[in-house]
Amino acid sequence: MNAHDEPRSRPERRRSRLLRLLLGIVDAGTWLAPESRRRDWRQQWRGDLMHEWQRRTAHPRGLGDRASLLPHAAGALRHAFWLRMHVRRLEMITQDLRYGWRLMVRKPAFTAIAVLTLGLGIGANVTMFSWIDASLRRQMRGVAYPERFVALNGTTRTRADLGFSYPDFVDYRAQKPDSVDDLVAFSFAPMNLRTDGDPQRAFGQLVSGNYFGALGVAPALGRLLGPEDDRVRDGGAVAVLSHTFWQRRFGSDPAVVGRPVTLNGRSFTIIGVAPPAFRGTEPYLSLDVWVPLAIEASLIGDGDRLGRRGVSWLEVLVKLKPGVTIARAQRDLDVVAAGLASAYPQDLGRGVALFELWRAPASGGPMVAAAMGVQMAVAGVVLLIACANVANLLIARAAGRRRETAVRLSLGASRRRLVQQLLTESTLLATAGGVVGLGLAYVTKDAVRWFIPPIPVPVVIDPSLNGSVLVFALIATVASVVAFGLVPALQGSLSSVAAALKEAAGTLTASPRSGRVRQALVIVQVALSLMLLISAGLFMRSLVKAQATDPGFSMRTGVLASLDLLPAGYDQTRGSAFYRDLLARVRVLPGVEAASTAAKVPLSFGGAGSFLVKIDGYTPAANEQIDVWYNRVGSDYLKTMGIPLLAGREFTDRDTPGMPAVAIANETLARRYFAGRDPIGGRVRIGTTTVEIVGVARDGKYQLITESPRPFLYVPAPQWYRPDSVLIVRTAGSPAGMPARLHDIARALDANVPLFDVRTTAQHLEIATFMQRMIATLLGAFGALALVLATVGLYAVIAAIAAQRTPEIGMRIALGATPRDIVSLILRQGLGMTASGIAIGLAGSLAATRLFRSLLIGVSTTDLASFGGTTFLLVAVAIAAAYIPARRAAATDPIEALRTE
Amino acid sequence: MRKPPPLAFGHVSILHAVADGNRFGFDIMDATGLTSGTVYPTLDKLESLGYLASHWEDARVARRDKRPPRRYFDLTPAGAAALADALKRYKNLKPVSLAAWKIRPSEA
Repeated sequence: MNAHDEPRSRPERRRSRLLRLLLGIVDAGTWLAPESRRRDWRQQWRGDLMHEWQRRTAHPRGLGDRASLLPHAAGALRHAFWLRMHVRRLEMITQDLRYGWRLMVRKPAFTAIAVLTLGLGIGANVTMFSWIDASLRRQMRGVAYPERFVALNGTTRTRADLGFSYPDFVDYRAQKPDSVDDLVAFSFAPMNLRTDGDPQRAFGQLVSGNYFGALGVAPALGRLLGPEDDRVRDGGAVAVLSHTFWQRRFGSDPAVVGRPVTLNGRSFTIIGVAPPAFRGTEPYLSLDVWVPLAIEASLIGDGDRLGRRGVSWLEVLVKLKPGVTIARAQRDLDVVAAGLASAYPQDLGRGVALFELWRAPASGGPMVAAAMGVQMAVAGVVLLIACANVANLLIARAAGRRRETAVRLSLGASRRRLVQQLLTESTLLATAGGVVGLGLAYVTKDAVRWFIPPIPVPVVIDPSLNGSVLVFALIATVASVVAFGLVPALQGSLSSVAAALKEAAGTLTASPRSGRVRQALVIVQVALSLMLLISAGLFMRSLVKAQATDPGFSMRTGVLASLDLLPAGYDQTRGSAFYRDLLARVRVLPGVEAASTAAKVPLSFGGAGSFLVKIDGYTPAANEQIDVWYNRVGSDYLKTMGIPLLAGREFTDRDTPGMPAVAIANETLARRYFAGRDPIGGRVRIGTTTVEIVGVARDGKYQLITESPRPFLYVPAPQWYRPDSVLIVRTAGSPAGMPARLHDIARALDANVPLFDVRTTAQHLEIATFMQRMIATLLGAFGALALVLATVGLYAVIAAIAAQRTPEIGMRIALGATPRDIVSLILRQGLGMTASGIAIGLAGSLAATRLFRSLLIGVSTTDLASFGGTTFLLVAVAIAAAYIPARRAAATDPIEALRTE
Repeated sequence: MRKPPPLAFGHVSILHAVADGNRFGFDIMDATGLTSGTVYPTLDKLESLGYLASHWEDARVARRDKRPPRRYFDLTPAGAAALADALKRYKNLKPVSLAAWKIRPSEA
């Protein structure tokens, strides 16, 4: 190092200037490095640069060699910046988390209330979402590449929910465009299945031969249907069982493959079992059996539909090639449709439309989507209330932490830093709430079965907490952090340093701004929960009214059973004889008061049949169509159902096809179309048939308990034969034991005819009010939840306000205020907020309840009892919530209170 | 405990350079050909992962050389294991002929 001792030459001076520049860059960059690492960073770079400098000076390769250190010094700045971005943030987050955790543990009551509140809100949403998720992915369980399947619906100018004929399906497959991988067709088919014992009802699908292959379903046992099964028209009929059906009916017997099974009276060979995950492609249903479309004629016996282009009875799914959009496939298929429309007269005016499976009109997509929208909206309101609650709690806590905040601000913490810390705490709370919510959702997800209508098909919705539900829970959690955490965090960091430091622990007046925000939040909560409560109240009242509504028939004890003679191969003569024999045997059973049959029992799900008729002696107005609902019923129907006969006679066993065609009218029909005339003997023309009215029956409810009186005709079943019908048995007392005896009788008549969907009258009547019950249950549950949350919120805010006013209250007591004065002071404040919330809630309810007017029975959308009752309930709860803190405030010891001042 | 994800190539080459006896930032830059803006942050990162440990040079040595002490790095046992694991992965890459890809000599 002699160079330093000798007088400096010019190049040397330049050299030392370069070194100073290098070190200067490091010094200048010091502020960039995070505080905690600043010293180390500076020392590391000075050490390394000096060392390198000396090394290069000892083995000089010119000044340029040392000047090339400059870019390295620039690297030092990059290093410092990197440290700031990474180390500092990591340190802060850990620090915030640790601090937040300590706060949570130190205030267990606060934490418990906040976490539970959020858990309830998030749980409600996750549960609803899991139901929707299960409903949406229902159709494609166990299918490979479910995302590539879309529904193909047939369209005309006015409709988009049509099916396809078999020849059309074959043509679409043969002409499938490049964007389409394959098309599969299927048709829902209820069947009578028999192995050796009793026949039973099974639900299956007729499917095209490529069905399992295109869906990518592999057999659990044996083989599944393949393209070769498309060619088997008769003989060698084969069937595939579902996994659950195989377990239930065959006890998981592996030797089932190759065994015969009788479907609709015809023998099939079982060739295989589908895997457990696969349940078929009917929305919501879990199917039992699949058979090839090719044997349709012999299974359904409705004439050969396979050859007829005009009969649209098939549902079609399209499997798109990977990466193909619906729009592109739609354009390609439009071309095929146009070709078919010009080639075949039956296809004239027909087009096609592709839909995502969940919204395909042919499978009820739009209705389901609307119901789900309502569910999600209600759950969302509950989460909003929960968030308002927690926001309030946080603001209350922030008020208690104003001094802490002020001290930190004055010590140099940035507002951003403070907001970040408060948000970290909120995130901790929300995460805990999310975990609680997931737990709640896990418990409540199976409650979905209460919301499945009791209809005689195997509906399956099995929610699970899968990946997308977890993602939804995460989104709900993050959204709630924003909803409840942001306002308190911003507000908490806004306190002015000077003001806050000057403030003593308590002052005579509470901070006006935070007070206003909190009161607004409570008012919103009260309003939202009142809206939910009023809606729930309307539906509960509606349910009570529905149960009290006279359905027009008096039978309350009895049994209903469905049967279908078609699969067993009956024609009209044998079928009518079967029903006559069946009724004769049932009527003599002990305990049976009366028995009959009907095509449809009143108040069933599903539409009613209707006739367009002309009535002799009645001149319709221009454009008036007389649209009359009807039912085909057996002898003694009115007596069995307990429908009063007002005039004329009932159907008897003599009203057969050979006898004059007759009918029974209801009151409304008689009054409207036979005004001033005797309806008995009147003539009604139904198409080419003229029927004579032989009786008049009292009006009733036919389809919905909500409907208003309408014209109705009963026609005798033997004169309007159909192979399927419902056996109605009225019993003197409890119908227990009756189903078994009915099964015995049916078996004795024909072992191939099963009774299915056997239910008591009481069970059937529940169906009639199902919709109201379902909505009332859902809204009631959410309304109760909202009430609890709003109560907690109200209580917490009033308690906090009362606590803040402790010195003021102490002063008032010292100046002579009585405990009564103090209680009423606090109560007034609580009730003021409640009153504002109620006013807004009532106005909101008046607007909202109009949306579901059509679902209410005998209750107006402004029903006084519902509005008044729930408002009263809310006021009572609000008084209780305010009274506790009011009492506590009244018990304030003035000396204590003023000492803290 | 779950295995940490495999190291990126830059991290491996720095661990490798340290294992080879290059214990200071500039030596590691020379050995790896990486820039200081990459090497120094990566050293910190590897230290926070527990693969490297650092300490300061003996102050007396630094004083003798009339410069501040330098920070130097050592491999930890975890770092040695991670490096061995990574080297095994690279060794497992079977030789491929690149002639068909028409690489000019300067790129090879």
